[in-house]
Parts: sequence; C-alpha cells; structure tokens
Amino acid sequence: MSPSPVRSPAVDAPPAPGGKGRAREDAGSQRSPAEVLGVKGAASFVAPAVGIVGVFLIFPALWTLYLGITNLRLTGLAAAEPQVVGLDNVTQALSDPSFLNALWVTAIFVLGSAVIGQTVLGLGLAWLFRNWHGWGRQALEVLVIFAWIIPGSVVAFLWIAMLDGESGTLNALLPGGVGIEWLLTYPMLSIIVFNIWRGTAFAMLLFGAALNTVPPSHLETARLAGAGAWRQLVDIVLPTIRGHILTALLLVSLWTFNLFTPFLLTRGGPNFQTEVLPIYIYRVAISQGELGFGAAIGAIMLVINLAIALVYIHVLSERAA
Amino acid sequence: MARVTLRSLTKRYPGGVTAVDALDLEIADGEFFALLGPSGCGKTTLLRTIAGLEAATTGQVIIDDVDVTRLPPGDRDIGMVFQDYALYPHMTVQDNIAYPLKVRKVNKDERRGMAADAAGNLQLGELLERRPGQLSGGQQQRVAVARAIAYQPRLFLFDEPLSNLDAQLRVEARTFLKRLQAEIGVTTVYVTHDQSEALALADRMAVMQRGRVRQLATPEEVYRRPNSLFVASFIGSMPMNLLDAEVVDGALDIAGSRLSLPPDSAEHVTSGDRVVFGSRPEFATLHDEPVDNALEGQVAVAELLGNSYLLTVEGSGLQMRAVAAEAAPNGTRVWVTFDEANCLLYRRDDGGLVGSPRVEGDEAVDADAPRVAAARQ
Ligand SMILES: Nc1ncnc2c1ncn2[C@@H]1O[C@H](COP(=O)(O)OP(=O)(O)OP(=O)(O)O)[C@@H](O)[C@H]1O
Ligand SMILES: [Mg+2]
Repeated sequence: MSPSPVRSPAVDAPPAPGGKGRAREDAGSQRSPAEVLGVKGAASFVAPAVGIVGVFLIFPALWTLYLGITNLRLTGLAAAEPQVVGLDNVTQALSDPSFLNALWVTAIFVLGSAVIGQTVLGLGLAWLFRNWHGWGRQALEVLVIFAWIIPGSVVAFLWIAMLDGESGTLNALLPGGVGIEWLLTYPMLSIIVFNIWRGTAFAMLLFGAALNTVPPSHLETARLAGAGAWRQLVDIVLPTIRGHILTALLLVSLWTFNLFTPFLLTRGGPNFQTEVLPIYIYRVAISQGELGFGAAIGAIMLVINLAIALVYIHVLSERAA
Repeated sequence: MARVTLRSLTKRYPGGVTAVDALDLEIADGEFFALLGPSGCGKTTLLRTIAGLEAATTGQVIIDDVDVTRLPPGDRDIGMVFQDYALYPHMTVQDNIAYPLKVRKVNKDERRGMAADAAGNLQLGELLERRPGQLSGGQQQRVAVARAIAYQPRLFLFDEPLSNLDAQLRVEARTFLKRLQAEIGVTTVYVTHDQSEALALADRMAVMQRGRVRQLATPEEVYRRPNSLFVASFIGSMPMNLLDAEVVDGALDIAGSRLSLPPDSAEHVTSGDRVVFGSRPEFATLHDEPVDNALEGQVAVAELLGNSYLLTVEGSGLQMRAVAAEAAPNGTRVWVTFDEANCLLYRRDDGGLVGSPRVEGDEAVDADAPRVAAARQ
C-alpha cells in the first residue's frame, strides 16, 4: 500500500458541472482502513477471522480432497491403512448409474425448488405485496420469517404429518377420503414443495427489499406513458433489480444443491427417486462405509458449487462493465 | 394542446394531511403556468393529482372539457419531468427517449425518428448511444425533457426539474425551457419553490400556501402588488421591507416618524388603522441629510450585489433594506425614503392588502408569522 498523501478534492477542486462528480470525489477522499491502521495493524484485526475460516472451512475442504484420492473405508483393512488410488474414485463415480441418478435428481430438485420455486415465486409474491405497508406488511413479514427460522427437521416432520397417507392433514382436507401416500406417490413433488415452503420466505424478503430500491418516479414515468403492471415489471423493475435476482439465485441454488433435509421426508426413496447428491454421499460414505469414494463425490460437488458460483459472478459482472 | 380546469380539488392523505384544499384553478391553452410556494404547501401533490398519480379525494380535474378525475395516468396524455429525472440507467439515451413511444406501440423506425427529433431539439444528438450514468446533470435533465416532448403529450408537468443543477446551469436551462415551451406551445404546469424561477418562466403563476392558492396573477403583478403579507414576504430575492405602522391624520406613523400615505391606499384607511407598510429595497432611496417623508437610521450591513449594494439600515427599533449604488461605512447616519408609487399597505390583522376583500380566519397573517416577524423586526 503506497502512502499517498490524502487530499480533500471537495475543497480545492473546481466545481464539477452538474454536481454529480463532486459526490464521487467525496467518496474517494475516505481513507481505507489500511491507511489508518497500517498494514500490520489491519492484518492483526482480520487474523482471527482468517484463522477460524482456515481451521473450519479450508482445512476440512483440503482434507476432503485428500480423502477423495484414497480408498479409505469405515471398517476393515482399508480403514487402518488407506491406499492412495488417485482419480480412480472419480472415474468410478462418473460411470456409476447411482451417482448419475443422484446428479439428475439434484438438478431437478434445484431447478424446481430453488430456481422456479423459491426465486420466481418469491419474486412474484414480493411484487404482489409491494403496495402493502404498515402493520399488514409487518405481520406478513413476521409470518414469513417464521417459515424460515423454524429448524428444517421440525418443518420436515410437519410436512410428514401433512402428507401422511393414513392420518395426514392433506388427505383429511381433501374430499372423498382419497388416502394417497403423497410421499410415496409423488416423492419428488413432495420434497420440492417442502423446500419451496421453507425457502420462499427468504427470497420474498430479499426481493421485497430489492423492489424498494426501484425509484417510484421510474415506475410513474412508465405509468404516465401508459405502461401496465406487467410492462413495468419487465421493462423497468427486472433490469433494475437484476443484481438482486442473480444474488438470490446464487444463494438459493447453492443452499438447495447442498441440502440434506429431504432425507427426513423420503430417505432418498422410494427407489432412489429423491436421492439427491448429499443423501447419496451419506449412503455410500456412512451406510456403506466407503469414506474415500464419498469424499471424492464431495469433491465433485465442491467443483459443481464453484462452477455455479463462477457462472453467476460472470453474469453479474457483465452488466457492471 | 389543452386547457386545464380544477374544480374544488381536494387531496387528503391517509394520515389526515390535507395537502390540496378545495382548489379552483383555470390554466389556459398553451400557457406556461408556475406553482410557487414554501416547502410542504402541496405543489407536488397538486401536480401529481393532475397527472393521476394521486387520486383526488374530492373535486374534479378537467382537461379540455373532459373530466379525467377517474382516468388512469396513462390515459390522460400527459408528460411529466421529475426532480430526479427518472432516467432508466439500463437504457441508452435513445431508448430512454423512445420508451414512452414503445409503450404506445409506435413502430421501431418511427420511434427512432421521433426520438432523434426530440433529442436534436434539445442538443442531445451526439449522446444518443450513451447511458444516463455517462451524462452530466444538465444533459440528464435535457434527456428527461426530451423524453417528455417526444411523444407529444397535450400537457407538460414539471416538478422542480432544475433543482439538482448548480446555479449557473440552472439559469441556462431556464432560458432553454422557456424558449422550448414557446416554440412547441404545449400547456405547461411548472412547480418550483424558487421564486426567481417562477417569475422568470411563467405567463401566470399561483402562489400557494397550505394547499390553497393565495395569489393568482402574472409574475409582474405578483412582484409589484403581492396581495398579502404572506406573498409579500415570500416573493423577491431580497426580502421586502415590511414595517408596522399606524394611520394618523391621513399619514403613516412608523415608530414615531411620519410618512405620507401611498396614494392608492389613502382612500381605504382611516385614522387609527393598524397596518403594515411594505416597499421593496429596490424602491428605497438613501439620503445623507434629513428630508421629509423619511425614516432615520444607521447603516448596519453593506452587501455587494454586483453593480449595487444592499444596505441594511437600523434605527428606532426598525430594520430596513435599501439598494444603493454606493456602499456606506457602517454606522453612517442615513434617511430612507420610499418611492410612493411602489409602496403597499397591508392590514395588520389578516395580512390582506388594504382595499382587498378580507381573508378568512386561519389563513391570515399568523400563517407565516415567524417569517414576517423576522423581516419586520
Ligand atoms: N404520501 C404522502 N402521505 C402523507 N402525506 C404526504 C404524502 N406526500 C406529501 N404529504 C404531505 O402533504 C403535504 C404537501 O406535500 P407536497 O409534497 O405536495 O409539498 P410540496 O409543496 O411539493 O413541498 P416541497 O417544496 O418540499 O417539495 C406535506 O405536508 C406533506 O407532508
Ligand atoms: Mg415537492
């Protein structure tokens, strides 16, 4: 960091036309923390955080990568003396129908519950309720936050109670005693609905805040020209909150991609129909004891996570350029 | 082109604020009409109610003999320029200007042509491919105007469109707007809280206070004969001299000094009336020896205005301001006379011009008491 002298351009710069430039220069005159503290001082402030991240995030990730190239097992000979087997685990996984099934199931789960469900539904709800203000809105937000802060396991059991074939609430509500075993008949739909119910609240709150960033005059200008609600949404609101949408998509799809709670509803079944990747890893690594193989799949998930994040970040930065 | 008529228009916000109060107004076809008033007097609300962005609580908005009070904004054929310009950052200047045309389903080629025409009119031809973020404040303001004129609405509404520009640019943009409006001749309602803007631009103006029109006249009339103490103290770049006076034997008694009655006020007052004497600093003259019809005092402050000075004179509990060609050292004894043809008398109780109908109850002088008192001290 070069010790450049800090000037205050607001004082001695000639007046910028239109006033806009001045605001920008003002922001530039703020000193960065490193300038105030010195590099060492600044480093000592972030060191604890870096340490914790290192111990709890980076080390386990690297350890998983290492395990992924071994044939470590939970029990038996390979538990005591694991051999390094290189990329064997990965090649084996890529040709394993169970793995490919899990990948496909996960893709549908993410697309259905994260992208279409939480993001689109969350945005739609936020748009519908955009004109709600005062206590009605607060009540709505409290309700919605509840859906989000209740622990996933509790929500899962609530949904089991809802969808159960014999004593489930849904069947009781439906006329004619249909008695459908929802979790067995529509397993994928069940976990998608479960995850939408659980996560839409977050997306809706995020988009609610995003919609507030659209200046009212932008919408009013469009209204004066005769634009209806749909046109305003497509032409003005969506481009304005594009960054928020991408951020929400990124977060929600990563969370959903790594979600294990569907296990509580369907245990991955029936017949592996809802075996998303985290459940698959659990099955091979813990139930079948193939720790090395499971870790390799974990590493593949890590790579997919990174790829998703990179795509979003790329799309996001395209606009800024 | 359009004629706008407001009939006892009232807008009450849910919180209980009556922002526009039973307002009647007629704006002629092609007129440049300014709405002026202090912050919070309801100018923006009135404009938004005309546009249909706020629903009128009671009363009517009539454009060209058609009652549009219940029509949505898009069906009123109105162009509006907001204080923040409301340019879309994700569209180019061209697309911004053409956007209302796109909404109205004008085909693409025609749209581009009309946008280019409007842009050319406002000297934006070079900037069509830029984004709003790459424009200066003055250019952004012109793009906003171009967008409003491009689809040729029958009525323009401006809500303080120049207040984000710096002083010099504001004067340029003002001249530009006035010329543009004269050329295209579209009826224009222009909201401002800057009295010099209203005086400079308007064919006719309304001075508002608390949701009502206090004076409706040409800028000249509002400047020369403000019809109440409120308007008198609000209009003018230099505060008007407003001095407490009493009518005694056909003359004015101001803190013990005698001034003759302004000729056109004389017949409306009788001995014992308590009035406020008003005269603008421009019409005050300083003398360095005693003269008749003068108020005596000492120079307290001298401010350079450019080619003249604004002198503040204090004496016998009065404070007066006068424009003089020469500065005078502080403490100089002077005698101030006022040009009789440009003096006004206001009733002290309700603040109305003497001879004019009385103003009812709560709109009287107390409405702006702090300000009037400060100007009068
Ligand atoms: N959406 C609203 N809800 C409730 N009250 C409002 C609302 N908008 C304005 N008001 C109130 O109505 C009154 C008139 O407001 P308005 O914005 O019309 O004033 P203005 O003359 O445009 O003032 P300014 O010069 O500061 O822009 C004010 O008392 C204001 O507080
Ligand atoms: Mg306003």
